[in-house]
Amino acid sequence: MIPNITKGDRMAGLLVYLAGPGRYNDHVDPRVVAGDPTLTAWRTESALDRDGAFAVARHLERPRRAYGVERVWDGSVWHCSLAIKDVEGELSDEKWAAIAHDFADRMGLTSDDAPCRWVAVRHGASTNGHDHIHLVATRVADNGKIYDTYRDQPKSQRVARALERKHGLLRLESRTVNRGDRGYKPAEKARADRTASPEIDRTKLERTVRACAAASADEAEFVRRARGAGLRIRPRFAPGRKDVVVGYSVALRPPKGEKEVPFGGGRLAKDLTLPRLRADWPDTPEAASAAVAEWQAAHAGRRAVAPGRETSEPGPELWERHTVEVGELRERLREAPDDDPSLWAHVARDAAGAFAAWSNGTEESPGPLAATARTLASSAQLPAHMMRPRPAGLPSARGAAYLLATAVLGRGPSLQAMLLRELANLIKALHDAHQAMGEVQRAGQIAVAVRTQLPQVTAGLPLADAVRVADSEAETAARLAGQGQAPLKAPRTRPATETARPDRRTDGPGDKTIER
Amino acid sequence: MVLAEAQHVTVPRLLVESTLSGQAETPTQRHHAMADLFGLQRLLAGLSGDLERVESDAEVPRLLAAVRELVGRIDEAIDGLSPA
Repeated sequence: MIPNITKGDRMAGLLVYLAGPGRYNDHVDPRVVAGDPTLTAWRTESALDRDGAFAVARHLERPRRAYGVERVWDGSVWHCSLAIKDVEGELSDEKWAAIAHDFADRMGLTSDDAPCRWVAVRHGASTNGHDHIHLVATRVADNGKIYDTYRDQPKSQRVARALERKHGLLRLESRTVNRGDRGYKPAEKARADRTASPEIDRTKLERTVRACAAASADEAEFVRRARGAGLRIRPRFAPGRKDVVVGYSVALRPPKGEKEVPFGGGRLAKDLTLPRLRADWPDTPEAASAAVAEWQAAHAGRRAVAPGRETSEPGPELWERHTVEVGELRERLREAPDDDPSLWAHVARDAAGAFAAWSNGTEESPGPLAATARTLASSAQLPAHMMRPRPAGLPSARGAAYLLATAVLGRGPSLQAMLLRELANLIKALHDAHQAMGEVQRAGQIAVAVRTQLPQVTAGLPLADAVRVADSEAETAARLAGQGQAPLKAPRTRPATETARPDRRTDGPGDKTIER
Repeated sequence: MVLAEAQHVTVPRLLVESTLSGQAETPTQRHHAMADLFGLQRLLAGLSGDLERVESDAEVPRLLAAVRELVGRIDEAIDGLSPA
């Protein structure tokens, strides 16, 4: 369940909107499902029309008017929507009423110290099909005190987690394991629609930056690659300095009539901040000065200072070496502990970088490679404090990103197929690790990506059979994760390179239940 | 001082408010009166909620109607006390 708090001053405006047809003409049968006792004692009917909305607003606002409170800092109207995922279906009004009462109680709206008047309105699912309610409260309590909104958003998340358990709702793994992706704002979506682009700018930026970072051997190369990929990348210098870079921002070249919107690295994804990127690059004085030179060139809009290996194409021996390296990483991970989120985040980031680089090189518009990269990147979104340095001597899949950044589909397809096979095995290991860590939804998303996205990639490559890594277990997880995918029709063959890991497997589908 | 104590305000505030409000009640007194009315209304509302759960008694609908009417009248009283 996702709570979203907004605050304002226009109680009647809000309630009339909730009772009305909605912005997208999507409100169905607006009704009051719950409210505080003073409301339900007075109002017995549940349907909410325009007049009813005004009446309810008048009732909720009565304490504010009675005490002559003209303005409350941060808004006198507290509004929180509570939404569940579309795959959970629709709850009954009674269930929502119980959830609303619990939520209001635990958020302190009903405390004896400052009891606030509130109402919960429901009007069908959102345009994306997510069932939800709106909880509207006045912040002026019956005794004239003001409801304290200090840190109400973190609190609402904690309450939502508790209510998920209490009411048997789908639990948000992104929150419980602290692995949330960055969300997007309606304005970003509107811009994508306006410019008829297949995805929002930030998604494209994230993938491109991820690809450039993964394919680069040092920071200077990253800057050159990003500029070469057509990004407007700018350094953020330390205050008063022009030779110390502490961060960066990137933007796409805006189409005519649109403004350039830059995003800081950390706004694209948690693992794309400059300090986190630097952790993968050599930390030497030479590399640092080369990087500063490139950053300054980017800042001033000059040409790249010292073009490096990104301008040349890797030879077959490099393909072989880096492919073997991915295999070695996979081997090393067999002994790796499952309960090490940091390690697996590193692995996920490596793999996501490789697919992002491949997507950038070969896909005109975002396709299966981009989707796979995005799914894998979600596994790398640990907050900085949970990350530990990469274990020393751990092989890396970053060489693969380097190769794939220059790969052109159709050229050297057998080399690509071999590399893809190793990467697919790596994804499988990641999937298993998620499952061992109890993150069934995450594992399910990866399984879906493997089943639906990778076959589209392998179709163009030889050795297509070798990369079919999805097995019945992955399918079970995917189904349990509620992704609503159709079952596979073609029989799956286990790849020859895939070896079973009995220590990680649970016994059968019956053992895996979604955590509720 | 006893009066100030009873209203939970400082002595200067009591003096200022009583001077400015002339013969009528002070804002603090009105605030307390309002809070009492709201408290009473909340109490009655709770009672009506409880009554709704008791369905066996024939008296319940009549009681419920009376409580609801009272809640409405308190609303009117509050509106009457409210500053325009």
